[in-house]
Amino acid sequence: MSETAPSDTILSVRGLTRRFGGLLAVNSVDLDLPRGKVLALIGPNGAGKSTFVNLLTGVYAKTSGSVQLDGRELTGLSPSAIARAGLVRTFQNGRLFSRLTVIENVMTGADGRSNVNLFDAVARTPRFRAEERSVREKALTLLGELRLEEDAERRVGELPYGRQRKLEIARALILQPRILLLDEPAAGLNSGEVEDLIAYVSLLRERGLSILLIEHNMGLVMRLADRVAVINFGEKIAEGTPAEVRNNERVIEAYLGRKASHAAH
Amino acid sequence: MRHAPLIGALLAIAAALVAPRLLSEFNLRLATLSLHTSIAVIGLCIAFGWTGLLHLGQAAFIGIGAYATAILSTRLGLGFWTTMPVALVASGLVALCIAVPMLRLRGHYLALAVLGFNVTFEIVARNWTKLTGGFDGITDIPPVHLFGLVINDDRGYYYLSLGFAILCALFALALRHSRYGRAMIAIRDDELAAGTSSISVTRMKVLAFVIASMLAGLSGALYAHHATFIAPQDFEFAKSVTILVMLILGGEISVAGAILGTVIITFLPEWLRFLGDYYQAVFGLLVLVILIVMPNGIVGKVKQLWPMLTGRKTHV
Repeated sequence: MSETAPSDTILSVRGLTRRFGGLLAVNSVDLDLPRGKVLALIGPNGAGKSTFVNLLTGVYAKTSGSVQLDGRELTGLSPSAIARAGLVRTFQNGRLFSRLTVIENVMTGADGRSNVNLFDAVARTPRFRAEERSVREKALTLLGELRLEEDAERRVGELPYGRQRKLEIARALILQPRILLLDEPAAGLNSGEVEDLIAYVSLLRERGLSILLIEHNMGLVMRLADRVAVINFGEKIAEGTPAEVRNNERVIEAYLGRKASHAAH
Repeated sequence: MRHAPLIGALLAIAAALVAPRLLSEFNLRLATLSLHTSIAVIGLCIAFGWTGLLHLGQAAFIGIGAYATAILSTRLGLGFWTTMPVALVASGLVALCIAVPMLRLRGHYLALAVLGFNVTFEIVARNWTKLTGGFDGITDIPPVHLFGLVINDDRGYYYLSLGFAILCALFALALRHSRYGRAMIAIRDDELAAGTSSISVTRMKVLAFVIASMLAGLSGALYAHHATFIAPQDFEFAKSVTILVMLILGGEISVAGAILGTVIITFLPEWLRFLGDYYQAVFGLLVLVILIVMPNGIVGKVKQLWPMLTGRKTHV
């Protein structure tokens, strides 16, 4: 496996472990996200992917290990502090704010960088109005890129599922993160929507965003990922280019079982 | 009709301005009571309707505001414009002190803790006789002076309370249409996603709780001067529950709903007076039916029916 030079790594995970009672949900995982690349993390159901994501984003506390974003330790920070540090995520099952409009959902994502205080908001100071305008414009730009601009003033509940998933990406991007973590973004999308998603993630990558993609859909992974890491039973079992991983015996075994892996040869 | 809410608000204000000419003395008193109570209900709208904090202690904070202004004006002879800010600061500081440990509790536990605070407040108010007058309360609270005028009748307190209620409604609406309102609503909708969307959840909750309690304190300061007499039973836990019913009836996310719910619940005992002893039972049943028919309150129902009323279809 090739080593990446430290300066080319934006996110470095070392020995990350989480124990739930007797269960080692994530066991001493090392992972490097190369700067400006797409790293896919795959694994069968129950492999520990979701726990791993929740550890990275501060939803769960680690048992041990470290996560560093350009040398800054993220473990121990609150989810909002991690988002402000530049690691922003979406959710597997789409968690939007149902009582806010579409554009308000996007605007909430910018809260962590706001310079407006309570007085500004209540007195409608020039600083408030300038920031509100700029956040709204950024939100509209993102909605435009995702072709959601006509939905801006709608309630989230009025949107079909595919658009709700896109909206979550817009909410994550408005903070201008350094790393975007997409947790199964293709789940529940139809094939046309998956194509849109691939095109958009490729565009983000071209713009230099580093992306950690958690995904089940192997077609998507093979087309988007620069590197792929595989976890099973909480441990990393393989890492490499998509082609390397596809032919790795332990990976085939994890996905298809032992017998099938023999049959494949 | 994009401006329907604005037109509705202006009509309501116009109606409120002429109302004292049309109301009997008794109904004017109830209207005044509902106006200053609505300030505490607007507070609960922010804490519970938006942020999801089941703050069942608003009556205690009304009490803190009322006792602060009553004690300072009767003992030290200070005027309303001095005692009212003190009432605000006092209720805000108490809220801040209890918010930090309490907001570690979630859902029902928070509700129980704040409820416990309300009961504790009642006990202290009854027994700290030197300060609060105990069961007898505090009497002869002096009138409010405003620009050389002495406000000492219901009509005066009506307009004073109306002014403060409008100011507080504008404050809440400004908050709603800013990062604060968005963040607070986001927290109740999905606390986890609010956190990962960079919102400082705990700070926002403390802020919502403190603002709600300060609005209750202001409501209490107005109440003390209007009533001229306060006693511990005015701030019982049951009143906190009534305030919650007012909010939910009007529509828990809506500032207009908070005011509407307060007015209706304040006048309901009068409207149902013909029921005599059956009033409590019918009142309870009525609230239950309304909540089943209109889970999002009156304002929620109007918003739902509005497209039908105006003959417009909502898009898919």
